[in-house]
Amino acid sequence: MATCNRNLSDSCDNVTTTTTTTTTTCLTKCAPPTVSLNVLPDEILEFIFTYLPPYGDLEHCSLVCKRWQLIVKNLVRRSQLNLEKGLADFRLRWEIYSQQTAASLEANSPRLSTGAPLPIIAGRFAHSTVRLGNSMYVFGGGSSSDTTFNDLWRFDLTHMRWSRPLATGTYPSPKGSASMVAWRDKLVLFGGWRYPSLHPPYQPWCLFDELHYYDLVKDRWLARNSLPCPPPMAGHSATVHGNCMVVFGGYQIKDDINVNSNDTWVLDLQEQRWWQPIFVGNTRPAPRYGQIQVELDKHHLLIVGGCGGANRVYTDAWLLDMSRDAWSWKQLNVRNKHFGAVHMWCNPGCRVNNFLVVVGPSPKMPLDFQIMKQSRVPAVGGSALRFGGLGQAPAPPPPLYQQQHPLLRPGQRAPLPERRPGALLPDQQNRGNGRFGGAALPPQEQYLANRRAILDQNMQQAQQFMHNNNVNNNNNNYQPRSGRLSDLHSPPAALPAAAPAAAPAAPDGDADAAQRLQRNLALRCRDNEPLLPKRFDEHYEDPFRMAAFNVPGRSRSASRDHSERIRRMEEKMNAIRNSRRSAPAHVEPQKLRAPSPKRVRCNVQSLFVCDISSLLQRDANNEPGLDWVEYKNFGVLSGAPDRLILSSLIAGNGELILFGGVHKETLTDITHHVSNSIHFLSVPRDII
Amino acid sequence: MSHQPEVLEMRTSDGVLFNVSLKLAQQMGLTHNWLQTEHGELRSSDDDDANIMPLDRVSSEIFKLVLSWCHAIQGIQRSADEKTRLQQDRDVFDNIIRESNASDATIFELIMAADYLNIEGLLEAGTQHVADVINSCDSVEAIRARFNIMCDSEMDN
Repeated sequence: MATCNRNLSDSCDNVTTTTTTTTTTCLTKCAPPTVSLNVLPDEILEFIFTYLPPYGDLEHCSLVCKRWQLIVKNLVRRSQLNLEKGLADFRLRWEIYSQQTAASLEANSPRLSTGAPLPIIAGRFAHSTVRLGNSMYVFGGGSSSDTTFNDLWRFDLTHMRWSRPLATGTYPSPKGSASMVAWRDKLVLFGGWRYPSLHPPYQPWCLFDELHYYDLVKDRWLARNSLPCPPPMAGHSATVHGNCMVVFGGYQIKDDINVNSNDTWVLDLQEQRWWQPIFVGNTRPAPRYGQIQVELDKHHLLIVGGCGGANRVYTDAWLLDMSRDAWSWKQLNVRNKHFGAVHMWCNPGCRVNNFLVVVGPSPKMPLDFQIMKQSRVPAVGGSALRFGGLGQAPAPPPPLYQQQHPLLRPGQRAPLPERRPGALLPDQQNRGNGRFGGAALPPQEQYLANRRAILDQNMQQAQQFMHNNNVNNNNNNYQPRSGRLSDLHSPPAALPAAAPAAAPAAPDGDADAAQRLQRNLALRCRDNEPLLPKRFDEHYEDPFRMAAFNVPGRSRSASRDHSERIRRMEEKMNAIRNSRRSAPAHVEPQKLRAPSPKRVRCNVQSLFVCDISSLLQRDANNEPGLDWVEYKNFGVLSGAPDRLILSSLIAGNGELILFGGVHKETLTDITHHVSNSIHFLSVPRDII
Repeated sequence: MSHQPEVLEMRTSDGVLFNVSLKLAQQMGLTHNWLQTEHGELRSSDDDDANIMPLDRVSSEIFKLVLSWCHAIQGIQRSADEKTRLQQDRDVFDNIIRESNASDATIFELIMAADYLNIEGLLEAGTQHVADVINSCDSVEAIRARFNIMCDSEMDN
């Protein structure tokens, strides 16, 4: 008979029989099973457990018997390690849970179906999320139709289901960008903004200073207000340390002025009392909102990124030391900034043990062009482009672009601040100078090879990117080069020599494709209008607008300038296209996709990982700082979600959970495409 | 002779001899090792014992089920997509379980055989099956009852 291969562990009894009992494997049966699952060896059991969602079911398993408990503990530890390793190697993958998958899950699992459709949350952005136990709680946020929510939803991670707790008590007002943290068995919600109500019209934005507690046990909202109280704010960040919640930054109304702040407020969660700490030292982070704040340990927190208004997106990092009575800020050294996320104020980040993970726009392409459509060009003024600036690539990875600048700067006119309205411009160029000053061919070629080899679905985008580079260089009164890809394979020194006079050449009698191309270029060009500072300020000081949350661009003032520039651009386009005739075949203009009305997968999120272990270990050897981890494939992992901003990212068990967000592409439309799907970032399964 | 035979002979732990076509046997990772090491020194057919692959940890009944799974898998069109492939594996597995009215013991032994023979698809299908059963149990007690596991202490934490 069969000899079972089994591990006899001490405490569990294994009974193997030469049985012929007709026990079927469904849940309901009459005869008791006579064989225990414990006959299987540990590794196989562990493998079985990896199939279980790592939340409630795994907890159940850990309670079954001692052996299982050990195995589950092992498994949890290993999955955490795997996640960290996967983060460091960028070997993860995204899985989506959306309405469709929910429906199919419903259909497949017999025991859940009750006939009634399950409720599902509406799409939203700038919501607040927190994870407590095996559930993810989502509150509020802005909707796709210029309204804000004040509903609380719960996503059960064990069963992968949305549900809506029936809450009583004093409901908070609708708000987005509030901060929500979990403390004991309560959720603490503070601050936020909301869209102005439409009637009566032209109402200002509302900022809140309400503080609410949500008691999960009793399902009740409790409002707490005590003086002194921080001013109404939104876009602040909060974390819990011990029994205190520390709130920093935000966009506030102080004495009737909207201003960014770098104040810190502390709420004693037990006594529900606010106080402000005393600081020692003069340095403080610049005023900002939208930063990422993570808790390092009970007395330390880390602030990364944030936005200080127009043209001021920060990528610095600060450590707040709360161990003594007087707190102090310390700026941290951020290393490998070129691998870092750029727009960390509208993109979420969270901490996974020794890493800080940020999900953001993919660094390989200039997202703003591709997103803005030609139809809305006149409306693309300061605000929309500023928003559009969200999608900027942190430039250093495209060495192609960077390559050109340092070489031409000496002789040429200084490039205009080109299509990137963000604050990165001086940074980028400095970086570009530093890194690619000389021969950067191998990275270029490798970069190109990487892109082409891996991003086949985004191949068109890559081409567009290269194309847009041309366009950019045009913007900067750049001399047209002799060909695009030839630059990649030829020494950079050839470039200045190859630069003919920038006279607008006569339009060559081209095929229709070229004409279309030209038109597309021109249209796209309008989107990368150099944004002069003063246009920003106009918008920024509008008291009814907050930079980040500016949704539709209402400025019409720049359209005249636009048409002027467009004409100039078109001439340059012609010149470039002439020179590009000699470009290698695989960069043919015809291959470039005309901007179609439907851009399905043009922008995806990519992952940025930062190593913060040196902060946690506090050894004297390295100066504590942040190291951005070099990404592979630009951080684009398989199954990446579309480019969204103002989504939320939290850490699950061995995975990361991304939810919500608004699709930037349609931001200047009245209706935005907001997402209500959840994306899980986890390690792909391996066989033991 | 390094020419590989069409049919591989396998003997299970209880001494039953099986003739398995090479193609089917290729699904098992164990045969790759076997073919690599043993076949290099293949003596010409006189010494039968040397050409028979021993499966010391698999009994004949289980091996029959394994063979039927492999056979069924060979018959169906393998899709390129990973997910549907897994689903196919599972479906075949479920069919076999149902047809043979397999008990828990059989399933566990099947899983262990798949592990021993290094058949990835079968292992995944089997373990996924068990995981689903665990998943369907709502509480700790239910798991214990279903799989006949003794609770060995008061689990406090």
